[in-house]
Amino acid sequence: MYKSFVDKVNMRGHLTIHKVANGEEELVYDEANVITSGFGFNLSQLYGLVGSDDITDYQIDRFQLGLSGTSGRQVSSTYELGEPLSSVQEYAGTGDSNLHAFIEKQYKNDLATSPDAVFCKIPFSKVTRIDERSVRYTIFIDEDSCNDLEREKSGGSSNNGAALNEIALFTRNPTGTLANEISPMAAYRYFSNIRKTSDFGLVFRWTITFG
Amino acid sequence: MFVDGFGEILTDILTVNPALSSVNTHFLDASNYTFQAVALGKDAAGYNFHAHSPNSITLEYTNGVVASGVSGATFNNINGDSGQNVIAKNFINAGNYVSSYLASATQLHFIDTYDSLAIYPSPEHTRLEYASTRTTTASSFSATLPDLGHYPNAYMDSSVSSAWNVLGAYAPPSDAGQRFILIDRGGSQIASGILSGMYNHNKVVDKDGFIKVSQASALARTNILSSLVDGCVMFSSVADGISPISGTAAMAVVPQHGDAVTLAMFGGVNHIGVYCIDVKAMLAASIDPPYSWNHLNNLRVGNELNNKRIYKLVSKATFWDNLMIHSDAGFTGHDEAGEGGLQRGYNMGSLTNKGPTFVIKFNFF
Repeated sequence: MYKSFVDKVNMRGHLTIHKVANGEEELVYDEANVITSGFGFNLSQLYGLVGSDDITDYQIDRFQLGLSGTSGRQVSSTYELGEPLSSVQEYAGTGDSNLHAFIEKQYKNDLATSPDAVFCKIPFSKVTRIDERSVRYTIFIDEDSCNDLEREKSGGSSNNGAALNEIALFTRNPTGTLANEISPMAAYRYFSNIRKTSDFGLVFRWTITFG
Repeated sequence: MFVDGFGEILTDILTVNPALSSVNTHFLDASNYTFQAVALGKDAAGYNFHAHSPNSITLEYTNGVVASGVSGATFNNINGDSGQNVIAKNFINAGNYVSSYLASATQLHFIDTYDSLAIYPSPEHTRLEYASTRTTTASSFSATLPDLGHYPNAYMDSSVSSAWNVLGAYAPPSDAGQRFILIDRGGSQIASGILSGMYNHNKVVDKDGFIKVSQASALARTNILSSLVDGCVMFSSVADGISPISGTAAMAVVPQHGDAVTLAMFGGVNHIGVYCIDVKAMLAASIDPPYSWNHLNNLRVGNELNNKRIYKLVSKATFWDNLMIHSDAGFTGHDEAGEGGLQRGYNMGSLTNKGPTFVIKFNFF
């Protein structure tokens, strides 16, 4: 019987999302998530001895948020978001956002690199070892970030208040490519719509466990 | 099977602090986390049978010459031979098995006392066998004998090297002139020869039986044989569905020549274990990277520092069948007599390296 790598190492992900307003947290989402094949690509580069010589290139250090998540993307072969935020400004806005958004390359499943994609950095201070086989990533979308997102409706009219409903984690640059960092998706989760405004922040706590 | 130790290594990878590069850039070497060693083993009880149990063989079957190992000296001077011989008794020396050593025959002979089954693998395992793998037939030996859970390389362990031929399991290089002798039920030699251990010749197996994994990158299947001087080999082969692009990698483990002979005579191989360096344990022991390789381990030689490696089991493959099973293809008087047996130093048919190639495939998808 064939077992996927995720099953073989009993690799699991779990995501909680809290709204934060006036110093109080409200749990709005609490579900398992999907580890995607990009994480396997990451490991095959390392253990096949063909990837980067720097171990930090195999670390999860960036994420994307998106607007078109579906349950159909909740499979290991997913390699991109339905509709990731498309500019640094969409992440960081014009205010005092604490997000560090930047443009880099992204791996696709056919190994072609994407046109420039926008990522947000996960500060290492937000990477926590929970126990011997668990690590948690804490992503804080503050009140000044990802607000009032707009997308055109099919008829061409503006759709103020497009909702966040997908998130993914990416590893840094497992192939060690020098010209650009090229990041494969390591984990994905579709969640219920959240229309982000400056009235509240969001805290994503994403725990990955091996075994 | 990946074991929990692999999850610990992956967690180490995801949480190593990038700022450590300012302290020592080698803290962030990817090679600190790659597969670094392989160990071979068999059922725990078997470490007191096969070629591990020379006393009964020598007492009963070799002209009454008693092994002198019980006094802490050299084992198994038999038949006036001054060398240290690896001796195993062939319980099934008939037909195609004349110069072959079949571990199953020994198990059948000692069926009332000898359970030859390797332990069933579990994700919680941290060694290949959990019961003692100490060879108690050499219990009178003065030094502490190894209990590693897998085959030691006693030949390179100065504290027990004079008993290497009963502790096992890796052969000396050919220039040491040591021999193997396969005897029949009556004590007569049926196959013998000079051992030619390639792992020890190339110094790629340490005293604790950890075989080095070469860190050479981007090797193809055609590079395996020429790369064995550096230990086990990571390779890819698109034709065989092994490609890091598609989430797979493979390792070739090739016990050859004398190593194949002695592994067969010591009871064979039922476990293959794959290990990473336990970086946390090494840092706790104040051993900083880069982590060089030295076959002596635990010792520092000249300027070669930090070679005391501490390993963590990350994957194991366990088999009901002995991977070193073989049988003669020829017969007495035939040109190919002994081919496939030990007569020509584990010459399995046309294998030029005189040993099997075990390929461990890792699928990360």
